[in-house]
Amino acid sequence: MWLGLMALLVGLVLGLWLPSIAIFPATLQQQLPNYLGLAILAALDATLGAWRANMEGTYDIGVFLSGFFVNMLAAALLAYLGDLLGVNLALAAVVAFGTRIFNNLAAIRRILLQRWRQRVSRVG
Amino acid sequence: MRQYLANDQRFAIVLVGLTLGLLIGLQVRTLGLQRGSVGTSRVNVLVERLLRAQEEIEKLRDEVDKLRQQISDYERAMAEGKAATQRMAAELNNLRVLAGLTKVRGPGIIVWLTDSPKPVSPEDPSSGIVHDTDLLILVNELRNAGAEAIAVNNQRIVSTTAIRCVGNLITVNGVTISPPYEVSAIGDPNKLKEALTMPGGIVEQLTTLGIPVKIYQRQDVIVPSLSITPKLELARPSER
Repeated sequence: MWLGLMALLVGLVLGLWLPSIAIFPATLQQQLPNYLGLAILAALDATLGAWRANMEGTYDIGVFLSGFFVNMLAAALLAYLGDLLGVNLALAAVVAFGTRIFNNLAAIRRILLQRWRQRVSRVG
Repeated sequence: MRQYLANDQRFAIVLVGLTLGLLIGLQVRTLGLQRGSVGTSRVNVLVERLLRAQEEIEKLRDEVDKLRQQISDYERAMAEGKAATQRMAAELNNLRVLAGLTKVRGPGIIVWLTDSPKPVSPEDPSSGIVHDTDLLILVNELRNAGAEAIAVNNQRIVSTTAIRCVGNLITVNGVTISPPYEVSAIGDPNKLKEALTMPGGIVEQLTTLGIPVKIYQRQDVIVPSLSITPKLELARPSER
């Protein structure tokens, strides 16, 4: 748990620091956020999905890791393909991942609530 | 909970956390850089730069006037004591006025016109707009009525001046001007005004299109000098 947070923090610092030492080409700087945002969305979805699976007892590291990286790349590539075709596929990815993130959060919330109620009834 | 994690799981968590953090950091940073360079502040910056450039142009134009004045001072000094060259100097001054190299003032008129404020007719969206040809006709009428010096939005009209449209803007002497347009001309104020307001004349044509035109007769109209001296590269005086 702490290890993961620490790694997140290190990555955050690294990501914030990297652009200040290496100046990206202007075109990359303009295009990057479009795809990076989708990749982040996919990664967030995979992480929340893993959390939910962990709570439901169906967690599988292989599923998590593959989902994390493959979804991330797929989302970015899909958006790129959409740009090439002139179709806003990025929107489809945003909707899909957004829905899944909310579903995962709802599931996590329900499980946490259930556990808390069980604890309260046991104590009471 | 940490004790139950196997080594490869710990590695996976680190990897995932690092990747997620890196991506979020990069995204935040690049978006921040973008906002800094092309954000809403850009318009303000450009406007400020434009104003500064215009100030500089004004300053440089004054300097051009000053330097030309200096040149004519020197010429006057040279001409002094030399009766023969005195007439030449006077002629040179006249020619310089005609060529637009000096700022001139005298009686004349100022014509003010701008695009129609009312919505233009739907069948011809360009009908209420002042075109380059309108300005050309206006300048031509003024010349025909004996105007000695003409400027459109402070751009002196000389023999090499072109008035034309580039996209939806009008350029005079290669300088972009925008409405409202102000054509100042030095000449007999009554003659100039009559030339423009005659029945079927340019003013009547423009007002029927909904373009507001105002003519002011003034005893002291200032016409600025040409901001750029045109280059003469090919034309040479012919002996015959």
